[in-house]
Amino acid sequence: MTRSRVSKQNYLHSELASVPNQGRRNLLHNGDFKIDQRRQYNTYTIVAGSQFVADRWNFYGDTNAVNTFTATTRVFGAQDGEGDLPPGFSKGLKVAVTGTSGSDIPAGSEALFRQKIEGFDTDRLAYGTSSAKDLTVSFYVKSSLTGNFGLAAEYEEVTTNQKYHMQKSYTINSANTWERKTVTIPGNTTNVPKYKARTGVGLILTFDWGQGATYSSAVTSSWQTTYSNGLTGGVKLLNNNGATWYITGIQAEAGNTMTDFEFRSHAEELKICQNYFILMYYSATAHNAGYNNSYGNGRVFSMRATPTASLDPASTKHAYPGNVQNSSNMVTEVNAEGAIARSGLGSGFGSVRWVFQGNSSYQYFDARTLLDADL
Amino acid sequence: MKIENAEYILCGYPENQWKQVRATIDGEELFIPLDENNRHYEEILKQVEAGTLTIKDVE
Repeated sequence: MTRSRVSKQNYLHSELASVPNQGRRNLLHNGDFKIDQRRQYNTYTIVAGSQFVADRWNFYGDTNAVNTFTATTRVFGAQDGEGDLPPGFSKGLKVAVTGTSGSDIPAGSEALFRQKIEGFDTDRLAYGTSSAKDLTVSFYVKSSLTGNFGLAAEYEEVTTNQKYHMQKSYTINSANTWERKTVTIPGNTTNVPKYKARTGVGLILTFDWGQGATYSSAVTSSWQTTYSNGLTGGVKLLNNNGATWYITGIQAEAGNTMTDFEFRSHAEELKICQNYFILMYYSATAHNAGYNNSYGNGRVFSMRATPTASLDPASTKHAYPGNVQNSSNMVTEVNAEGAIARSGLGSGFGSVRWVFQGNSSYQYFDARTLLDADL
Repeated sequence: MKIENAEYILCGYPENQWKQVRATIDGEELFIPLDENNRHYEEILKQVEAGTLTIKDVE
């Protein structure tokens, strides 16, 4: 057996500088959809409002938009017998338009798919300085539709709260065929982001699934102040009954060079996603310590902000003895006396517990619990 | 967000040390901390300021 040798041991700085930064370059989370605590890899029917269709990935559609179509999403993979994915990928997101009303999404309505990137993570783009960097977005996409589709970026400026928008497009050339696309979004050298070095929304990356004409524009080469996250004349996925759209390997990296998708381990990606959302099985003994309520023991977490707590709507909460189910007196509460409770610094800690109010006799609780601290 | 039945409730161990909001948002009952970095609370504050939402105080 022979071993390969490094053919050159001394590199000039100029040579190293030309090598793209290969470490932790994807600003997006769960770009390959391997984590789906939100929907548990099940088919999800889109409703009006803001909702997460997979960890970190959000759909927003207003009521008038959603009234014009029915559509489902699902994180799919080889384990489902849907192994048609780009090489190296095990999961992707599928969107299926299962019905339309006969009318397109109205001009003044919105339907978009997005990820909000935390301010901490967009600092590297140096927006608002002469060193502002371009952002290169790449992804694998497959659709029954062909043509030009919209992709946009948006962020908020610090002093005026003015939102800045950049509209771009990508072209699907062949139906039902995986294609890798790249879009470069120029840096903004003028306008300083609101959430610089803070949690909060540093940048929103948006795919146009059905933005109405009012919220659409032509492709732009400079940052605009007019609200637009859609492409004028672009393909509006959700207006097309029977259409499908698949995506995976979404990456957004500083600079104007597309690199290979940055695969992270499953454990690492899960940990990242759990900074924003946790699905836990809460099962704990309870006590009363002489007070009127029964207190379950706390479960510790660390998240971006103090999370909203709730019961998983697909489950039932129980209090024992007696197996009392879904009592309105059984509430959950988050105790966050650390950094997350004080400021937008993020990366704090806290604990969640269930409490039975007005009854001190319960000794044990269980409930599938959701903690949501996403942007 | 469609926010309904918003009310403050007392919580904390040993008893009633701080408030949170219990509300039905888009059809689901949520328990929301008073943290402006929490997107649900951020939206509650917006709707309260706009006069479209009131939060029932602790009785």
